[in-house]
Amino acid sequence: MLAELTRSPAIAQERAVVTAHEQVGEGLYELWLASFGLAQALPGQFVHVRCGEATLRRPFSVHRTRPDAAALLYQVKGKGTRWLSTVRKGQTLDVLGPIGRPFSPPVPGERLLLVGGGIGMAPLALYAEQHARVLRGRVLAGFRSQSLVAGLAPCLASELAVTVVTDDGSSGRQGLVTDGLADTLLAEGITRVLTCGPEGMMRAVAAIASAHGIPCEASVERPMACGIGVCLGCVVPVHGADGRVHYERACQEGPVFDAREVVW
Amino acid sequence: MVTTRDLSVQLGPLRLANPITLASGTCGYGTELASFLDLSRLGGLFTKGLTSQPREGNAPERIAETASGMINRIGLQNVGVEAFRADKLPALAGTSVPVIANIAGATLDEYAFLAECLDGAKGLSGLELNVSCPNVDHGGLEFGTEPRVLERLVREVRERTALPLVVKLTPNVTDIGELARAAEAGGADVLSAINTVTALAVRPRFEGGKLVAERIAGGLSGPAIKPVALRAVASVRKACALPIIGIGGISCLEDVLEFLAVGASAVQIGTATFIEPGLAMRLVAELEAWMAERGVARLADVLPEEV
Repeated sequence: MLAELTRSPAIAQERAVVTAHEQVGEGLYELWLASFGLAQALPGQFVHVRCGEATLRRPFSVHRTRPDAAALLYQVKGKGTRWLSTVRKGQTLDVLGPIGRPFSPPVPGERLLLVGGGIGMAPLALYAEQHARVLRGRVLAGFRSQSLVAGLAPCLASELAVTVVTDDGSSGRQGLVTDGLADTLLAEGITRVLTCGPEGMMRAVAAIASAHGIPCEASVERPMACGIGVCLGCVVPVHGADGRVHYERACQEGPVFDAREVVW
Repeated sequence: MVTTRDLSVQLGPLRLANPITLASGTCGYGTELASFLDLSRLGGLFTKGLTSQPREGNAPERIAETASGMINRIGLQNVGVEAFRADKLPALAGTSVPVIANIAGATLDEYAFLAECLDGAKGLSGLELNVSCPNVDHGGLEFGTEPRVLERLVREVRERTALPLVVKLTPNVTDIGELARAAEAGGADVLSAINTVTALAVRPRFEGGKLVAERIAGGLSGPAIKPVALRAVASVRKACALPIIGIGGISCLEDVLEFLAVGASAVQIGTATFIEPGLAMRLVAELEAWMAERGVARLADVLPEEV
């Protein structure tokens, strides 16, 4: 279902200079890296970053790109991201990327719905940024609370309508992104859904899209070791063409999957 | 500049151009790493553990990070021995790197089948026995923990292949030396040590007034196990005369030298490849530079004879 990825940017390991790093919400940071390689990242692709003394790299979706740089949007969750949040402008980071299968590019006539949950807005914002002029449709961005609203600027600058939803109603509409989702799909003639966020949210979004026969692509997050397809640690169960469930690697066959194929 | 330095090492019947090889389970079938390093520059490549039939492996979660290491429970996900021989091995034909296939059976018969299936395979330089699999015929105990069981397994495989035979020892035993002697008695050519150390990662949750453990039980790898591996290699060196390939947490040249100094003739790079995909090739260059700085023409000359 997903478009065949012509492996445009090659994955490279490099040391990239941090050119900007600022807090954009509660425990949320935007970090810019000078890198021509990462600047080639497509929406949905990620960067595997060494984070201080943490043994393994940490995968982060590319959030924005410029001709010579790429930004990550991340939330402090554990040891790795805590270290990352202390990095200063001018320091270098050991990065590996861009990695993975991106969201399929838009095609003329499509009406898209981008459904993001929390930090899951990061890759959807890149989609809105890189395809700003041609996109038609809506962004549905869910957050727990106003203090966690981040990553929307590229969406607001695009042709997409933007709806913010918070669990506590502190920003935008109160509720969940899945509330009234079916009505939105029908009323706005949505032809494809892209989603990234908490697993439960994506499962619900995928089910609603599927019930209406609308294609849905989901970007999953998995604990990951190598990021280059050799460790087999990041697998996702998917329904194969042979009707059996088998495992595909989030870092190679994903992180973007056809949501109908994923065993949620 | 054309190098004149000789990094080659002889491990019984197995000759490697240099002692830096990639560990099974951390380099796929080789081609996955081809864009990060020149496989031909490496001493050897130990491919993902093979079973008689393709295996999907364990349901996620499969990995957990630990202090200076990681735990995995991949569950031998692999394409199966026949697809390996038909597709994966020919894909490496363009490289000169010695390819050693790691095989993992659940029964003696499965190991025998795997050995026969790979004997004489074009482009294959050896077999490595993964003996850390649960032995179905023997109540699920690992093959590699019981000297008599291990000796019999090695002998059965030995009878079915002319390929150089490496036996990968598990550290999860009381006396690894005893297992090394058993493998030697069964006809092993080379020993590799160590496989992962059995371990448990726990995420405690407070639920209904009680502590509840979310667990990932598997094998620990990475720098955390290097001291365990060094001790195991030293023990194996004392126990028998077979050449040894050291494995366990190697991530820099110093680590390589430590293993060579306690009696390994070569090493495998494992988990460190996950962090730096091109590390093994860098280590080959660094080892060569280390020799150059000390005026060493042949690496074999500096390996200790008696440890």
